[in-house]
Amino acid sequence: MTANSPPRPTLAPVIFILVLGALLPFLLQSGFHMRLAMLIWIYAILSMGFNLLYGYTGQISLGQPAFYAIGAYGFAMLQVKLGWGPVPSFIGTLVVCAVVAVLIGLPLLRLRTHYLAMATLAFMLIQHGIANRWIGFTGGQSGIAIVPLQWGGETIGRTGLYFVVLGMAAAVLLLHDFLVRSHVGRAMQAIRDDETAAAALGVHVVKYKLRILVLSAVIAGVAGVCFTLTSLRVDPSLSEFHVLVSMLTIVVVGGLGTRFGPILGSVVVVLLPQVLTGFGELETIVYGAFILVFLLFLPHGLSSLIERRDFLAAFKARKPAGTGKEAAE
Amino acid sequence: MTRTTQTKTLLAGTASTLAALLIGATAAYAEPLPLKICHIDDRSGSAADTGIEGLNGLKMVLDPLNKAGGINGRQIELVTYDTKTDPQLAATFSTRCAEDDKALLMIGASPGAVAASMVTVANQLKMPLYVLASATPNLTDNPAYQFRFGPKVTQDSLAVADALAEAGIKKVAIINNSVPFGITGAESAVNALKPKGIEVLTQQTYDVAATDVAPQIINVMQADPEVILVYPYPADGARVVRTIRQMGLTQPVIMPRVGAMKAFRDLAAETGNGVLIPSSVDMSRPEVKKLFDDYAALHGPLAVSPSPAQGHDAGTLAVQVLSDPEVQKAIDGGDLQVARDAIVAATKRLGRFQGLQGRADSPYDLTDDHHGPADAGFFVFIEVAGNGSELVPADLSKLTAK
Repeated sequence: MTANSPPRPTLAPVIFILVLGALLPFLLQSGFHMRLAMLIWIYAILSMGFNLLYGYTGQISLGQPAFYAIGAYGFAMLQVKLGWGPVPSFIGTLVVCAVVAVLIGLPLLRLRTHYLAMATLAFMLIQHGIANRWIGFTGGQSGIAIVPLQWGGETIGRTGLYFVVLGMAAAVLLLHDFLVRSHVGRAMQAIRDDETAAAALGVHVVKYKLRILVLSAVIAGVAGVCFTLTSLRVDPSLSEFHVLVSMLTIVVVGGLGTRFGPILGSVVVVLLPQVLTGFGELETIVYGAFILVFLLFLPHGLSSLIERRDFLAAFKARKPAGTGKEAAE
Repeated sequence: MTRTTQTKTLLAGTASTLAALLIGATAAYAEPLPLKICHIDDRSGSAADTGIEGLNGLKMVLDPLNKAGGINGRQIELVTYDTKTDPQLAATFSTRCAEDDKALLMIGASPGAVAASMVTVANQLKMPLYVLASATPNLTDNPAYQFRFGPKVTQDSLAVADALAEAGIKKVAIINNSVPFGITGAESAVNALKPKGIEVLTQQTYDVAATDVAPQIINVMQADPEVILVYPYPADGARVVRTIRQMGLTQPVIMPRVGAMKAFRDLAAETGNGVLIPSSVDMSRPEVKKLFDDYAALHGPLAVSPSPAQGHDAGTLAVQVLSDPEVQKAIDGGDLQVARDAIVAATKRLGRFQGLQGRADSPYDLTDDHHGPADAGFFVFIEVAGNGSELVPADLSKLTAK
């Protein structure tokens, strides 16, 4: 490392986030606040998978909500229809997500950019259609309800459930951070920037793309399981457009291809609608305006404020040198 | 025992007695709970009209009551949340209502998926919920804290089957879109018609976004039914009816729920004339007509729609329940869960009541394990007239067997 090299990222911020997460139950005042905290972690898990796939590897898959729903449905159906326990159901669900990802990844990853986006969006629509229309199997729009998670014959309370979700989020966050800081992360970024150049450098592009797709699908499945544990039911809305929009908003607000963007974006996307309820009829307009402001003034998301220690210097550097007239010319 | 120890013991005993007295006094003079209700429903998104009309109907009960001094001098506070047809948001708002707002009762939940998620929260948090428009059949299959004011879609189908059987109809065709309302509606129709000996000659399904439904209509034409049953959304419903009439089919068309919606009537225009609709709103009842006149005066003209009546009925029962002496006692006691349980018990006790929905002789039955409108005799038939501008009492004589 030369004297001018940027400092190597450390685990310190990850540990700080997790410690803060562990302290939250002692700081929050009601079960509703705990639910919001769980939703933040659930969306963060979902978006971390998307961040690996799109933010770091450049593969724009709009099918992530489908894997989120498959995770949720798998976990619920293995328990309700096959009578499996929560742990085998969890493992079985992740296997299902991985297998489905391999099956769709093999043909779809030949596609790039908006073609890949459209194909994966079609996959989401198919999954949503099945969840909605195969009523005898999926419960249709009413979905499927599960019993609350239990430990030693006792139902786990909301605080206990929070720590279960936090544990899963911690595992995903550590994996996400490990990958982006390792040679795998550099290979992913090389693929994102130029697949041909990456291949010329010895990166096995197809292998990496498929592995990351499978991993992001499994991570989305973990998010789906967490959602089922929290809400005690699954329904087709898990793969509706609003989930996709929330996920895209998280990466815009938090910062695409950043270490902590998914978490910061999730905080905003989960809490903002609750804060804006006071605006009544104008709520949706204010929400939209807020996102526009982010796009205009923080195109790299909230994460850019934290991860770029030289933010102020960079902001000054963005200003054109000389007078406004000269800049205009 | 030394003198110091004696003094300490005396002080400790005095402190304990004072603490016990203080706790007792606090319990005896517990602050009464605020009369807070949450309205959680769509006010934007695909079911916005339903949610807004239901809220307006609810306010038509609560606002005059509050102006007149409320219940025993205490106002009812209404907290509103817009669910945007998002079940996850609805679940979060329901939790907020139960745990942060500490409300006594939730009212709303019109779209089926929103209602399903709110029912889960209501039962998890032991919070009474009055479901308004949702037609999903199984919402009240295992009723605990949830009560419904909107009939199940299966009840519409039973009303249709009864009317067809009475007219001697033996052969029908069904056309439905492929969204849950269409699928569930068609399925419930098949189940209701079969026991009446009415044969479904063909059931045609189309995509809700399909611009051309001629293939499905040709199949219906070839089946040659006596009546055509349609389960659409408004825009595709208009396309179906236009195609039916453009292809020369003259059979009566029955379109539960959607046929009454303004969007359908506007788009179908002259081809919508004569479309029959089983309706839970009987405009021949003077009190129902007055509700719609009052509604028009406050919010502008509105065609016959069950939503204001559902909101009004839910509000009326909520006021009766909150005024109930047992509920008042629980509210004065200051224990939120005891008050909520008292509301559930009072809803069951007072739940057989004549609302503005249904026929004059067909009260709600929210008692015991029923928790919803009466299963039979709840519907009247209306039909579209005036190129979509009116809904008038139906002429059922057009339902004649071939």
